[in-house]
Amino acid sequence: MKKRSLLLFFLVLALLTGCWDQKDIETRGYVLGLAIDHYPPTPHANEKSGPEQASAAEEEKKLERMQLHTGEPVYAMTIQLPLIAKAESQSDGWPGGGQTAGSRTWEITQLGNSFFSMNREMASRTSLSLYYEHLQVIIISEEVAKKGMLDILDFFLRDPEMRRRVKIFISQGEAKSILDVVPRTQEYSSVYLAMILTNSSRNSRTVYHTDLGELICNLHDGHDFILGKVVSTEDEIKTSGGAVFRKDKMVGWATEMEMEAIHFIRNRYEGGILTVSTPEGEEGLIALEITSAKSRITPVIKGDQVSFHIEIKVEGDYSEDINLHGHEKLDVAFLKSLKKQFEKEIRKICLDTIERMQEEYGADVFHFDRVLQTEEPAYWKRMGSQWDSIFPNVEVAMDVEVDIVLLGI
Amino acid sequence: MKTEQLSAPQIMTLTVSAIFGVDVLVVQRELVTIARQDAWISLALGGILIILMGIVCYYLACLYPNMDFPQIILHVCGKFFGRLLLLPALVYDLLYTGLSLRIFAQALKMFLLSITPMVPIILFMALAAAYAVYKGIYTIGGIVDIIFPICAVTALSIIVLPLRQTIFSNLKPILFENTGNVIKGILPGFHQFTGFGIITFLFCYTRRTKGILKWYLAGLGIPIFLYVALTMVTIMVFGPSDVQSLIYPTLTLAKSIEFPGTFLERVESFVAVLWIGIVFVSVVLFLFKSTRNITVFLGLDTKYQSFVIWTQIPLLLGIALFIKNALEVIEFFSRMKYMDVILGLFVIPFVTAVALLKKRKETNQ
Repeated sequence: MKKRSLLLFFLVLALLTGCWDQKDIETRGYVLGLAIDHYPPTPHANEKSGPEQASAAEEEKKLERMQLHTGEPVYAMTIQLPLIAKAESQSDGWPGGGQTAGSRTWEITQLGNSFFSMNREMASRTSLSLYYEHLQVIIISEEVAKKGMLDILDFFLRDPEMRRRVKIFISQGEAKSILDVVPRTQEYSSVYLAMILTNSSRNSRTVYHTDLGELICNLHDGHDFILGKVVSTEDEIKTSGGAVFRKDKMVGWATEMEMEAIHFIRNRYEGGILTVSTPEGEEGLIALEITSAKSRITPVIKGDQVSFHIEIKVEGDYSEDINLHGHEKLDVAFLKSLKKQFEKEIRKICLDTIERMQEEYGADVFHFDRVLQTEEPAYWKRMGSQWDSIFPNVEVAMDVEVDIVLLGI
Repeated sequence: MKTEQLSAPQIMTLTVSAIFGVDVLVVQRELVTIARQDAWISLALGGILIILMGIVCYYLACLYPNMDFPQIILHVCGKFFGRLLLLPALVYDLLYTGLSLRIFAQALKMFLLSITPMVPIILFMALAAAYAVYKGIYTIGGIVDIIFPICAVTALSIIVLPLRQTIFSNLKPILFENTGNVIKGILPGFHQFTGFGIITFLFCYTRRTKGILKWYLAGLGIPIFLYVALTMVTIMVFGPSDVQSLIYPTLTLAKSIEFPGTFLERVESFVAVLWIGIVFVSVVLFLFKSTRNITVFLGLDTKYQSFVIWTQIPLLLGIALFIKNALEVIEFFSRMKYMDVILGLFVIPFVTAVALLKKRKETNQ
């Protein structure tokens, strides 16, 4: 009996251990999005329309400041918290679109120079306990990205609540303004932005591989890379094109078509549309829906000289023609000439993109350096330290093969 | 001949459970630091060495089928010299159990129970393990029978689920001017499979059927395969530079698993929960070894064994909490496991050689 009582005592004690970490769901502040802007902002970034709004903003600014142990505030960190009670009470029909900005969310901004201390300072402004496990996106302003990513990343890597698959975007302009958007088909702009990427199989102009893990792997390996670009209006968000990074600093933007080319070359093309004019010089357009694209980069070494041979194999379906009576012309000869036209177009956008990245940014976003490290390690060992000066002059040859599989009905 | 008996398949499950343990969280880190993208080759070579040493352990156990390792060592090497050889094994098993509890608690605190203090996590795990040991090897075998499929599924899921994120070229170049480092990584690779000698503690509880060696080798082969695959997948997902910066590469790997849409957003919660079972059986088996070592070392009668089990609890708590810094614990844990290399590569072959000579002498007489 005594033994059983003792065992029961320990069993009850063991059950109590769970209580230490008990947290009521309504007391958690689920951070969905996080924006990082530079402080002080550029003069045009925070313009207000009227004197009343300006004074309200000034009042709020006082709360955003915190006492710092050392230095001056350098960053403005904004988090987006969902107001779950409000989301439930207003869920009549589609959310967003006409609702006032922030009605379902609370965006808290804090100024400071350490993200961890800014995070803890926010605890003095909300009764909720901030929780990052469900963080969807981190938006970084162009200004911050140009100063370097290494300075700001540690908090996001060290904190166990952060996930390596959190999406990272670079905003053209103020990062906080993306969180302020009230999308038409989603409750929260952060979730909306993260979910846009699920369309990457339909549109290769967005950067799908734009997460914390991808970023940190590139930084550790010393590769140049691309992160997704994001722009917004009051109720719309668009992510298309990319921010080009040389080492950890942003050096410029890649256009939508350049993103297609980069995806082709890096074997990351998940699907999209390619449009060409008709082969016979008529004023028509033909669209190919690309269903599969594979690439292979082979380095060619001659002494100390290196060049690359890129093979791209594309499969797609004839999906549309404009201003062209395609059904009358669809024969083997026409398709052959069309195939050549698509091949020429892919080759052109790829070579143009390589040239611009070489000449304008000197950024090896195609990871040719990685190909050398893995395929020609002896060359890399000998010449790797000079890669920054070799890359802008590297010659690239390209073979593109397009197969048109389906023709519609 | 002990009264309790284990079946041949249980030898496999017990061997796998002894080898698996807290190491599964950190197995890649040390090896990638040494051999970078070729770390998996070092681990595979360490695994081959483990199989060879495992066979030596098996033959040592066969020479004295009614005794376990501490009894054999004292019988073969004499009371004084035997105790001298048993002491490092005794210290190693205690340290391994204590530090396993600590690494388990700190990883659990980091990823699951952030507010719960470490002391109760360690204490209750140790108490539960001690109770299992107190109930005897047959009960331990039963627990392992339940937990083994969970271990296997967990390990397999950690390997298979991140495959979408792997980049094969991260494993390249293979062996390019790196052979020296790969060789340097063999011993650290060897000690990742600590616990392989469990057969010397279990054989005396078996029915001595012919299939035992086969099941034991399967028990060695499963963790070798899973650890090598886990290391390869981790390198393919993160790249060798990134792996070196991760304190718990396996948990970070689980956190990196992504499915299209928002399906299964937090796979690591399942992994962490199942992993508790893996660590638990490993701690149970090492506590069992350590209990037997202490009992025989002190020359105590088996009836006092339960007293030995419970008195180890404060000792384990002390070992677990002795070092404050999380990274220092992991580094000390890795360094401490070189004791197992010495035990596995020198002490056990030495004892086996002496045992063979002794047996031959006895036969001649």
